[in-house]
Amino acid sequence: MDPASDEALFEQYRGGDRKAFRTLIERHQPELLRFLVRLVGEQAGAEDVFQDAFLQIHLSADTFDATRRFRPWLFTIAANKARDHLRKKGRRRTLELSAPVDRDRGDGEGSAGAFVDLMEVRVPAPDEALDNEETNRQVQRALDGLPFILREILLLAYFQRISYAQIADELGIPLGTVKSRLHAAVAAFAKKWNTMNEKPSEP
Amino acid sequence: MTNGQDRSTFNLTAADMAAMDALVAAEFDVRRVGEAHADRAAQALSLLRVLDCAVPCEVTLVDVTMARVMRAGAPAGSRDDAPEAELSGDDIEALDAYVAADFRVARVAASLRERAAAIDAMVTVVTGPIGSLDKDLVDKTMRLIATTPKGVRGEVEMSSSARSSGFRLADLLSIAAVLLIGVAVFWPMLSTVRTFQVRQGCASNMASIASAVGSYAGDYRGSLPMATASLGGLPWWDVGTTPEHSNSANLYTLARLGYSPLSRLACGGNPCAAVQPTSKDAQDWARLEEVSYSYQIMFGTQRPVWDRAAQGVVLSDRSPVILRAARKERELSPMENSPNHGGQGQWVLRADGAAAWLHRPVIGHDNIWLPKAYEDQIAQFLSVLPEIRSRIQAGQLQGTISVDVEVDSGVAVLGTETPSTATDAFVGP
Repeated sequence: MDPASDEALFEQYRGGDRKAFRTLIERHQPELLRFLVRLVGEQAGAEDVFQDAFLQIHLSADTFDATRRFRPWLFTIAANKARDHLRKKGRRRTLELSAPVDRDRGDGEGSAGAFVDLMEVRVPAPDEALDNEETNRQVQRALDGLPFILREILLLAYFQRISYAQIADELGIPLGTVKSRLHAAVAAFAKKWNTMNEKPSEP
Repeated sequence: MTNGQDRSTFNLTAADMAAMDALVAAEFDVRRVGEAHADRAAQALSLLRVLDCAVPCEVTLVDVTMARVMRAGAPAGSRDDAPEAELSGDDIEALDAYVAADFRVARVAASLRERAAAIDAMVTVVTGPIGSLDKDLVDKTMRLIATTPKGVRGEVEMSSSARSSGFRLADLLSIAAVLLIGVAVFWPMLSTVRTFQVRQGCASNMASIASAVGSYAGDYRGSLPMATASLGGLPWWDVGTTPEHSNSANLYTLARLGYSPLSRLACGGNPCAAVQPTSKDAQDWARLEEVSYSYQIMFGTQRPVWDRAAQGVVLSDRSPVILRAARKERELSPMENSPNHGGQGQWVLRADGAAAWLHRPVIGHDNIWLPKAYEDQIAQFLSVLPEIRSRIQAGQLQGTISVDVEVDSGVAVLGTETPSTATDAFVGP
């Protein structure tokens, strides 16, 4: 028996079947949580956003257009919740000065508009184990250095594996913008990653 | 941290852009990328592959999410004029008191007893013996709740719809109680009952461990179980390495030497708990997540002993602070309760053999997750924080206050700490 599609399960839930909603949560937990851990930058916050996202799905259940796909909708809502979360967290924890200290100034990192050639970036070998803590921290530091909109599009594209047109549709931005943002995101991430792998990491 | 975002922009070369577009079109399957872009697309994918990460083993997230969703009531579109149902302060207090009284109404303070009785009636509906209450009734109740706007008192509607279904009066009263208390409490209550069962299981584990430690102490001149005599100052949360670097190996001694089965050192609220040794000569759990109980770090200036006169904490439900610190999370909350019991509290076992349930991780003024020296530092840090903040606002100080400050102020838990005194409650993995 084929497992029911996300959309069919969601329809069942709208008809009052709670188990169907639970199945949806269970089904999307690993991928969505991975996406959120990377987007938010830490586990506890990602779990909060995870819950907020499903809560929002539940509350907006009646507004969902049944002809659309469930998964992109879920990820887009989760990304929006993540943005809210980071904004709130920033307000609570950080007192920004009017002129923030530019920590990257003077370390010779590229000027505006510099080009990155992916072939010159040191990438892990295909069989290299990546789930060690050090790599994990480096990836997160590289991501944290990206503005939210770039991080969001990079992670949405990578974790959802959907077309530019679909991303544009979900985020409500023009196709050209999706492309150029993703290009900039990959370039910025590659640059950060490379810089980190060239220099010994900070303590 | 995130404040250090780089404002300079980068872009890909034209060849990389084309390869990236091809990779996205192929849904990140390099084999489907045309030959012209294959090499660069493969390179891009190898880079992006680092974004994958392992998510830790926590099954409770689905439960918690589901509970929050159910508590939220009906979806937006179908509850236009429904008022919000919230438990009143009195009901929350009564619920807490009822749970604290081990679900016995008679033990709840008189002022809250009436409300506790209503909650008790509801619990009976949910968990009562099937003999007097058929499953159908529970299902009908659930359906009714799902279709009843939140906050609406349900007696009137209930009686008419229920009469036709032929409920007995006793059932009706129970259902009325459910609706009076409000839908909001229903799902959390279900999980509370589950949590309660786990809590009872742990109470029985506490008794069993106390008896095992007692036997061990009898054989080893009053000493608490230990695997090695040299732990002080070394990292102690590397579970599964060597006893010198893993405090839990000391507790594991009980299982290794046959004083206690491993299953008695496993809490039902820990989804990763190990109940069987991985091998005959195992000396420790395999990893931190498998350890259900935190054990007192014994090697301070004085060694605590198992003694009727001693007051120290020997064991507790696992420490959330150590779990987070070992995962290198930067935000640690010393007041967080153990994850073993849904964050509601934790058991502690004292050196005199008595077990107690704590709603907060504090005994007297002593936080059980942190050594005394740290508790003092946190108190000091919190006392100067407003001053630092106002000086930054006044322009006298440069910089930002972020979680980094907490690390710089020396309250990072490093996994090498020891208690300040023999009476300082401080449990490790």
